[in-house]
Amino acid sequence: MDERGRQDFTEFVAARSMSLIRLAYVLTADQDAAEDLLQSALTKAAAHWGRIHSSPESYVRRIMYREQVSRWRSRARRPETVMARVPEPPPEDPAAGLDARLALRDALRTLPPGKRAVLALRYLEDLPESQVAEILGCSVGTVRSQTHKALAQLRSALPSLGLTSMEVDQ
Amino acid sequence: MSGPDRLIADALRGLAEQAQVPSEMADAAWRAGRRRRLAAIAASAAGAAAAVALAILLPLALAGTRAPRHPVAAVPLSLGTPVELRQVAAIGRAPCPPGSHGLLGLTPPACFQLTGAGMTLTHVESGRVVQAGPTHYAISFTLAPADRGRLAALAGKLAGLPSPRDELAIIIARRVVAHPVVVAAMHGQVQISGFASRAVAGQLLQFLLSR
Repeated sequence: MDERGRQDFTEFVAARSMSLIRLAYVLTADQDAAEDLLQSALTKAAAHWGRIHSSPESYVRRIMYREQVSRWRSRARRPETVMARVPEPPPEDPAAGLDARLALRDALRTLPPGKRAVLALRYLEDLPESQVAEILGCSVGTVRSQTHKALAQLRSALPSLGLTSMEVDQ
Repeated sequence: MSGPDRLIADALRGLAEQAQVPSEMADAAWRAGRRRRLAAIAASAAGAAAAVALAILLPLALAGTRAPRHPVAAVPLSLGTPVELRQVAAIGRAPCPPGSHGLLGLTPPACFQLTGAGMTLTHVESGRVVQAGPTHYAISFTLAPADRGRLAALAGKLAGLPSPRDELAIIIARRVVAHPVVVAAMHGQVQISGFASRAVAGQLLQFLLSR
């Protein structure tokens, strides 16, 4: 049974690792961190492999969301690290000659991971707030406030991209 | 989805597309997951062991051990996960200090310092789940002939030493799952006791057998 489980697991990883690494990358905005996150999630999935009755991919994606937000929360409690320069600052004039989507993509990179996770669940996975809250283990109010703050940050970074009409569901 | 919403969704997809093919990770994840499963089983075993306290022992150290009342069919086996037997040097509080080379034991948490004396079981003649008491079960191993002499010598060395040097740590996946006192010569059998159910003991035995 263990050997069969291993084979199933290996086939699952082979088939879905690209899809999963893409989500991990959205959450971390860094290839190495994305691989760490995915590896950690797959390890947890492997530990419960025989008991995952629903979609394994949904299970792994859910773990990644939770783990990334958890890591972000624990880091947020520690003092910030002073860096010599701001990592990947947004362009000074993102609309000037740049595709709006690229500018927005770069702005998304600068969001804190928790806010990026909320946006990914809301806009990439197209999930309702209640489900986002359930996945992240927080209240619907927190989802709304995080979404609102994330959008405000994007608007501030990209005032010329026409994001002003975005509203958070009430 | 409104225009701005779609803009964000597209940007998120664009970010996702920047991910590169990940390194191969299925095998490492599976092995790490297996260690997690074992840790959970070992914790369960240790919890049960705590409940029966002194029932954790190597009862088969005694010649003429009683036959188990409800033996399960013996399985000829090589151990996918080795079982280590090591003499205990000292037992301290958990967690183990960094650099101490101690191993963690579970329930109650403790840090075990070990001596160099011991042996590693990679093959056993048979392994079975037995009922070791009214409410607890054990995994009983009969050692391969080549290991019996080594175990007898090890037990002879430990028996009668001041505590805790007369204790033999049973280590699985770098966790001390039991540390029985060796009270007599041993004759080729080792028992890990203290499981609350046959199913839990069987699960650990199956894990030890799996590759």
